[in-house]
Amino acid sequence: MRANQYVKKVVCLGICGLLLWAVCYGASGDKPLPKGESAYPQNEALEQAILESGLPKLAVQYDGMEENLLSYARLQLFKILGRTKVKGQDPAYTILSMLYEPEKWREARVLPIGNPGLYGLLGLQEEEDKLVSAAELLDRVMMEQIRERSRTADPRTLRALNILLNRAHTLVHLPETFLILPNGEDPQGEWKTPLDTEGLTPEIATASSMLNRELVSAFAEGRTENLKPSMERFLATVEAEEQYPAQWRRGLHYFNTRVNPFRWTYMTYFVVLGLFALHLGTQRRSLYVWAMAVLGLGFLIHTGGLVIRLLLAERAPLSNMYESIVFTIWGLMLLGGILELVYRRGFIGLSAAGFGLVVMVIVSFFPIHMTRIEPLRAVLNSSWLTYHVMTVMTSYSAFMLSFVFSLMYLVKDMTGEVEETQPLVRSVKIWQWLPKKETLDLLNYRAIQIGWPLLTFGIFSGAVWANTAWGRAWGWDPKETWSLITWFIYTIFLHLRIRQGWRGRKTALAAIVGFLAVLVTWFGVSYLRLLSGGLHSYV
Amino acid sequence: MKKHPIIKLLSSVLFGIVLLVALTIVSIWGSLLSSNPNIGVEGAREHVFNTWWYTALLGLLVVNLVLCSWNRTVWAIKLWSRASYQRGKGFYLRQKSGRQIALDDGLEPALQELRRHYTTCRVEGNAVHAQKGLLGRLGAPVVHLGVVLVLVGGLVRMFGDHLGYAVFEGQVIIPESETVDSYYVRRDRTQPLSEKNFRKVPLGFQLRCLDFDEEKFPHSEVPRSYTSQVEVQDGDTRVRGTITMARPFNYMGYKFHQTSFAPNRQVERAVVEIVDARTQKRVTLVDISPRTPVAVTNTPYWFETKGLAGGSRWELSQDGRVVAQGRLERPRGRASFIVERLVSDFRIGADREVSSASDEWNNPAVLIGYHEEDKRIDGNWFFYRPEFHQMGVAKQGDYDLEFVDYRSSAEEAPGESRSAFEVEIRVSRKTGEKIGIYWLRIGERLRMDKPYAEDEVTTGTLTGSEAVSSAGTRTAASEGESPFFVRYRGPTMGYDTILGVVKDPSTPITFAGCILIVLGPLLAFFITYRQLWGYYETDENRLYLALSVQGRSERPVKEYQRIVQRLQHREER
Repeated sequence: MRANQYVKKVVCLGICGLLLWAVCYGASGDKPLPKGESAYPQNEALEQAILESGLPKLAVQYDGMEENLLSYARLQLFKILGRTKVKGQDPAYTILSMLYEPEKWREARVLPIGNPGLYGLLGLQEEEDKLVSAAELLDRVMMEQIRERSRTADPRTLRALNILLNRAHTLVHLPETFLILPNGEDPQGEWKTPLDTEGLTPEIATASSMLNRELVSAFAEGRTENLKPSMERFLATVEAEEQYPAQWRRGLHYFNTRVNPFRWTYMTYFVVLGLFALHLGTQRRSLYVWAMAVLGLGFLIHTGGLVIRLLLAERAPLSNMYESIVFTIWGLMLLGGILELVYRRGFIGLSAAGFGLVVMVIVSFFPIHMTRIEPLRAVLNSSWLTYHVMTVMTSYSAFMLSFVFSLMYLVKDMTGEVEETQPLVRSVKIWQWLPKKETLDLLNYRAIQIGWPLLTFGIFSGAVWANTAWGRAWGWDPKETWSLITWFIYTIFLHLRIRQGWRGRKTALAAIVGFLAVLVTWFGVSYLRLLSGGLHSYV
Repeated sequence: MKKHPIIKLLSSVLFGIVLLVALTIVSIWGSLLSSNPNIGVEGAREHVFNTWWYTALLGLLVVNLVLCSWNRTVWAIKLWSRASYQRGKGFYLRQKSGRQIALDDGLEPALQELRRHYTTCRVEGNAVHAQKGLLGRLGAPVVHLGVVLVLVGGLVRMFGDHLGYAVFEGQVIIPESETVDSYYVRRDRTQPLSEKNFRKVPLGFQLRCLDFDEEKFPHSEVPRSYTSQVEVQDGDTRVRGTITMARPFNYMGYKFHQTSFAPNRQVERAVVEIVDARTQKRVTLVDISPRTPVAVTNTPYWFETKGLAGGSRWELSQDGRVVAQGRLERPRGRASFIVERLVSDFRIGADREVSSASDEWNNPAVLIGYHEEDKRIDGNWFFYRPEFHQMGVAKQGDYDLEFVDYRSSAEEAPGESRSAFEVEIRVSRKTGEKIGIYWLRIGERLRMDKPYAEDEVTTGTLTGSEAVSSAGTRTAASEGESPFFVRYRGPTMGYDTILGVVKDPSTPITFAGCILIVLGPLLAFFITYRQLWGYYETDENRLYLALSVQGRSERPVKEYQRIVQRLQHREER
């Protein structure tokens, strides 16, 4: 018996450790370097001076948004190198190095080859090196050879070649994207590079030239004493321009980039999970209080992250898959927290935190171009975006909860009811922590009672929006059809429960089927070829 | 009264559930069909969602909902209109909520208390019946009625499409500054609208596209907005409107919404800049066509020009009244033309490259590059044969060119280079003024020495202030005013705006149904029906009370306990 208990504890600790590793690994963002990594240009003293000068907070216009140098750097590094930072270097330093030491980066073997089929195309020895330089790739002779060999290459290799060439082009044309000067002549238009000062006031032109000169001399000669003063002078002049982002906005954007509130969110949820688990195992009230307090803290951080995105994007944070998932988990934590406060059973908070943690860790692995704050495309530019997407996502949060409760019910159903919950030291069955089946069944119903009206309103608001944007309220678009199918399933559930007296396993299974329909509506229509198409395909 | 078995079946909840399951399965099948690229959404509609049997399923659902809701509604009305009295003491003693209150002042004060909290309070002798929250019982019928309305709306829509009194997925394609009087619908409904699958239908009025604008986010390909400015011409009526992705344009039951757009090189367009003369900052850029009014963003004005050439007259108007006018200013750049290539038999190959099909002079063409301040702006091919003259158009700034003749200045080997040839070019202004005819060698530049229209710029008046000098400079505006001037920026691409056309009489029905579907659950979840029974035992001076609540809500129970406490305390006082 004792050996059994040890084994069980070790297994539990192992699972917790794995989760902890996933949390930290996702948080770090630093990926291992490929074999044969060449030395990147680096200078630690210069890197430190750049960080102290405030340059990482410099506003850079990129792809429709005012980023800061740090976020711009991560985006460009991902496009060039396939990762958002290099070798423990600050991305802001790396990108400035690419801009002001272009020849070094052109010659350095930094571009990952990736596809094994490319070795033949590039004329390299397989496994000799996993990296190639931009200079090698864009060499005229090499290009001719690549063109010749690519005639017989398979489509997958050609796609990989395109990606690699794009990386090289991005690196070479990087200075053209370094837009830090607001265009005084055209407030809505494209900004300018540091040396393109035509049409700007003499003060800005001078400050920009000075900053540029200091950066050149910093990278060429290592002289950094004037870096900070020139940066401050530059800011003082450009901040007078109407379209330059206000200081609070720049600061908020930088904070969001550097700190990433959602990373702290899931780390907090991890702690909440642990505290609730300990409470259920030991039945100590103080642990429950701590768990609820930390849950509240995590929820606040999560809310803060969403509010920051709202302020920076000037719209509801609901316009792409990443934002919709993060918002749905926020809804899950809100509903889970409320139900936990009402019923005070511990396992509600545990399940919400656990589910939320897993999903938030998964989305933390999304590539940076999926997680950045994007400008709102024309077709989504409507106040109905908020009403429709928010209500639909909140309904998904409720259905998520019902799914979790249904799973718990089925586990409990399969493993048998026990009379009391035993503390961890005596219990050998982890599912004994789960409450009674009647309670789970009731909570399942309550969650669907919350989700169904929200889904109904979500479908209605979507129809109103579609009527405005597309001229018809309903067009049997795959997304629309599947949302209706989901609505049908939950309507059937409610009728079976209220009017036919269904309880227990049957309703649990029905709720699981309903949530599968939610997943198809949410993800399947967008990503599965079998179900894709229609006007919702951008989400 | 016993129900007919068929009525009983049609009104049963189980039957409704079976229908919903059937609709779910069929809808899944329809969705799979719509994702099939060979069938598409249109095909799925015609094979599943708009078929008679799917409609029949929905019709059965309507019948089921109506019958089911009828039963509940009739019952709810009966509950409301009739009182249900309980006289026996035993009833109250059996109830969990049963309470006894000693009353010395009689029943009336207690009744007053009850009337304060309950909607109906009926008395018969010593028996009392009160109830509240009957709307909560109507939650489900309200939802059902909403679903019925939505389905009825769908039927109206479907029959409207077939019978022609409604329009769905119609389309108009209007080049900027052009007018249309009809729209297109699909002839074969199972296929999308295309050049081979359309039917033309008259609108009954004319629709003109004044301007189409696609605005992208800076340094990005992401579109910020698509905007079409349109004008309806219906007899003497002129109605203007702006169409965006969030705002369609409605006229006479038709709704026009932004669907797409396409470039159109045949449309003559230019960009002008509206500049605040005091701050020298741009107010906006406006794309314009000749004789086409365009709304000036961020101002209440409409801008119209007679032509695109420098010196063309422009007007600014507000509410139909001209408030300013002038002539288009041009930058001080000098135009020039360079004869770049001459081919004897013009041909465009599969690779879009131009070459000579033969050594014969079957279709002579010359490539002339248009330059401003020695910067090449554009190049066009001009054709010797008259039937191709109109193909060498646009983007020669203010000039029209014509390829008049060609000659060889020396013996030349056959082929396309023709470097020893000369071409005769006639040049005139777009305003019609003839400038001259010139013989030019291949590679020779023709410079237009006289910058356009400097002497044609005349004085105009802007709102409140501005004077335009003949040299194109501006006098400073007086303080307190905000004048602006107009500067020509150059030619630009023209577009066709593609608008969807819809005429859907079912929309109000459908939305009314949706509102009821949303309202119903609110009624059911937030309004709780409760009944209260009372019996005054005269001999004992005692009031017996009992409560019945639908659902698990605790609020009515707490309210009942407060009433009981209040009655008890009143007696104590």
